Amino acid sequence: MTSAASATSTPSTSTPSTSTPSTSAPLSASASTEAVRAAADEYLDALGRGDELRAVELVTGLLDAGSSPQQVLLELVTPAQMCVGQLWESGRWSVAQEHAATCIAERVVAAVGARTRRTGSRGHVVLSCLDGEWHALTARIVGEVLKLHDWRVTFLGASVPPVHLVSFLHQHGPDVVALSATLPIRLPAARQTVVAAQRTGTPVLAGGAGFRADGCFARSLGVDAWAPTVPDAVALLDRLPWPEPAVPRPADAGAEAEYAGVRERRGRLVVAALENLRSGSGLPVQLADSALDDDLGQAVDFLAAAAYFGDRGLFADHVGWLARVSASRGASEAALAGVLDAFGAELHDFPFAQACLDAGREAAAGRP
Amino acid sequence: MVEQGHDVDVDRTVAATGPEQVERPALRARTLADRLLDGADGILAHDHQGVVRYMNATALALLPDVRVGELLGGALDPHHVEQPATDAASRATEFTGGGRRLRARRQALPDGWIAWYVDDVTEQHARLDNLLAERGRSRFLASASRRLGLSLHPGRTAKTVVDLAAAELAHAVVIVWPAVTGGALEWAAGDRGGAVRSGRTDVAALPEPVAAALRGQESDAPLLVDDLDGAPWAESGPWPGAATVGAVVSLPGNGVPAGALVLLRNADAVSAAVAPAVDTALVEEFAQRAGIAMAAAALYARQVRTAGVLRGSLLQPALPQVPGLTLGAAYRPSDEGMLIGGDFYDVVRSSGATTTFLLGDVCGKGVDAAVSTGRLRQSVLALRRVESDPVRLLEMLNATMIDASPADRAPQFVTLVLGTATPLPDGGVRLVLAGGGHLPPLLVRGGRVEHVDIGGMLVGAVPDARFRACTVDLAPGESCVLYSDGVTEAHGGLDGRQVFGEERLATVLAGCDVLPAPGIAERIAQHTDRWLSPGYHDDIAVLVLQAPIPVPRAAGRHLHSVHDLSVHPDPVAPEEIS
Repeated sequence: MTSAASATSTPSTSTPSTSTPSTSAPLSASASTEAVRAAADEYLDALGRGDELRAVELVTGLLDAGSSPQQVLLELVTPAQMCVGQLWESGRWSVAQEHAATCIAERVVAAVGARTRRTGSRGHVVLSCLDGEWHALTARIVGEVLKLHDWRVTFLGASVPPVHLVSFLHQHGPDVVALSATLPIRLPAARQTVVAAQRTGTPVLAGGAGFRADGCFARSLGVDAWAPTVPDAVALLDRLPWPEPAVPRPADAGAEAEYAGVRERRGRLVVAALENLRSGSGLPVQLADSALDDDLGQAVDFLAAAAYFGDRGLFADHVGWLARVSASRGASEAALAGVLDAFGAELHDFPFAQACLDAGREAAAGRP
Repeated sequence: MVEQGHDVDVDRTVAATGPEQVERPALRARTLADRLLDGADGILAHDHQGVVRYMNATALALLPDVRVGELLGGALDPHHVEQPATDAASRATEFTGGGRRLRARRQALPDGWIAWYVDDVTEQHARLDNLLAERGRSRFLASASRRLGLSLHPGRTAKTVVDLAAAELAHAVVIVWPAVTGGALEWAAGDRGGAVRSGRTDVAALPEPVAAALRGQESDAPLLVDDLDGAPWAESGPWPGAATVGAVVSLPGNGVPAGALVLLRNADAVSAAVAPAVDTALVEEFAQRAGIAMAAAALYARQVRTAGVLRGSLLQPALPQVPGLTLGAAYRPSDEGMLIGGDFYDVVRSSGATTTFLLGDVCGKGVDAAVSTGRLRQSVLALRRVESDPVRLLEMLNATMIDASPADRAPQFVTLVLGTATPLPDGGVRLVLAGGGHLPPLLVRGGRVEHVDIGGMLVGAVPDARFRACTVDLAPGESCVLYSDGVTEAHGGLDGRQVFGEERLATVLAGCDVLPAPGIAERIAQHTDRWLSPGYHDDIAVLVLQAPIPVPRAAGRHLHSVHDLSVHPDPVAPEEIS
């Protein structure tokens, strides 16, 4: 399930306070905001047609006219990407179209970056997506904005294996490592990565929708700092060194056991759900491009993460999202209910997972 | 308690003094009870008005300022001591008198009288202070041992040294150590709770005591210095006061000092008597630990640098920009820490319109295989100068590999797809693909996915191997996908034992016709990665060649010329955004 919506919901556009001066004659703030807003429709149109040249041209035009790079990244590229996610979610765009639009957005970000020359004198930030995290655009945008604030930024890319990250830290000794997570399902495994990074003496900054809106998962992982928005990340880096992070509350042993148990049964759960779908009357919910078992596997991952963090709302939210996406693709409501029932039958001795599944059923029923 | 007794001994203190304003107690003789009490801890009693009515010998010695018959003042003044508490702990009070530390316990007596039992706890305090100080030292050294050596990066280790020392040993700390390259020196400096600053310098700019410590002085003991003017870190202040006094200590390393530590103390903040008093033993212990960590980090940094230079030539190359051809690649070696492996790809632009590309898999994994891939890519680079036909190139490569393989070892063979791409006038691309026993490339045409069966034998296995080629034309938007068996033989799935397989790969590619080449490559990597069970996996390499996707124009819009921005991010090497 490639969801650009969740990929880009992180950087808030509501706080453009730290926008940097442009190289050209700066527009007044309101004129600049107006210009960026005026370009939004055409930019989205260019993304939809796969017209990379036009998208890049629009953005460079805005920069030439005096909009700041940070404004373009946070007020044009980021909101457009949220639109792309919604267009896919509502079934109006194919997943390939969404994917192509994301590829173009990456080039646009690179084009903005290519025009900015900063000293990087503030220090060295290493930016990395967690292992298994393929939404790299948000991290790329964060990297460009930090670069605008004179940080030297090394972007290790999407889905970085922990071994690679830690050996990079030993070799290059950066000042900060910034971890990006769009989906919370990779977070339980990331605890070890955080510890390994901190052990090298490098403070860890977390960001991305995966840590939840209030950053509670970031605290559970024991990171040094958590930034809800890109400007927050900039402000936090200004305040280095950070105080020692609070020692994370040790996970509830029961919850942890359920996490491990659900992970272990991942294959069985997916098979059970597939059988239920095939035998039942519900239409198979072919959600995205990816195979159905991928989607079901991800649902199990959400269930496991919900158990790990003791947060049933996490699973309920995912089911609600699944319900919306599958409804817009004509799948029957019964199919999703069947999947939850199949999970439930396999997990009868997991009380917290059962509570999550109940919350999921409510979320599925609560939406058309 | 103060009964009149038969003893005729006169209380000397009472006899000697007595203020006029209070009722003068009658002289009295010392009783047996008094004598017995003299051997106990200090005992003092006062009446309801606060007039001292009794002191035993110990109390007289402990409280020389207090007289029987006078009002009790000082720490035990009844007007200041709070009302009696119920628990024993809060009825006790501690105070300093006559240079001694005293503890007094209060006891109510009949008629409003109060007794104080006074103890000398000076020794006890000194012992406790020593114990706490010793514990503090142990804790500091334990925390130093724990934190030093966690990082293998010299700069990061130096910052930890500064952090630790500034918290315990000095107001500000500087560490100087030899840089990994170029004979220069690096320094890091910081004060308590502040950020650590760093920079580069050379020996000539250092104050002599510091330079001496770096050369290795005779003793490891801290050398006290009071003149560090003009040090390269001085400008990066603010430092605690202009007049700083310090100690310089050499950090013992592997034969030569691993660095020098400068401890700075603020001369204004510490009285002159205390200022030079550095806890020598503690500093030496700490220097030992810091030296070991710095030496280990320096050793690692030198090896990393050597390995990095060697590895640099083995990393997968950044893709060139080729007009009329879109390229994308993905690479995930099984050795994730090193980023090199037995899979490889390369794209080389010629001066003409034709571009040579290859993707292959050397038998074996890890560093050994990576070294072979480096040699092989080098051979192709050289051979294509004399031969452009892919089949002839493969034959020459085969012969070269057999010539180069040592006689006493089995030949190291390779599977390979090697080809040329030439843009066509209609926006398409003509590919000539030659095979050396590699997996058949896949073509993405609209929603369809097709094989290109080339055949051919392993390269480097037998002297007279046969290779074949075939020509494929890509229409605009169509792609050719080369991949290694790490993709199709990825073990995983629901039970962790299924292979990804060509069929799944074809399904993944089916919807890819609208994606640009880098998007296709990333998609394959993403799906393979999701498929894989956690743990070991084979090298994975993907190279995508695409005739650029025609862009439907928005009606009535004129396209201005823009600079070519089709720079593909290098999928392997960390990308420096700068």
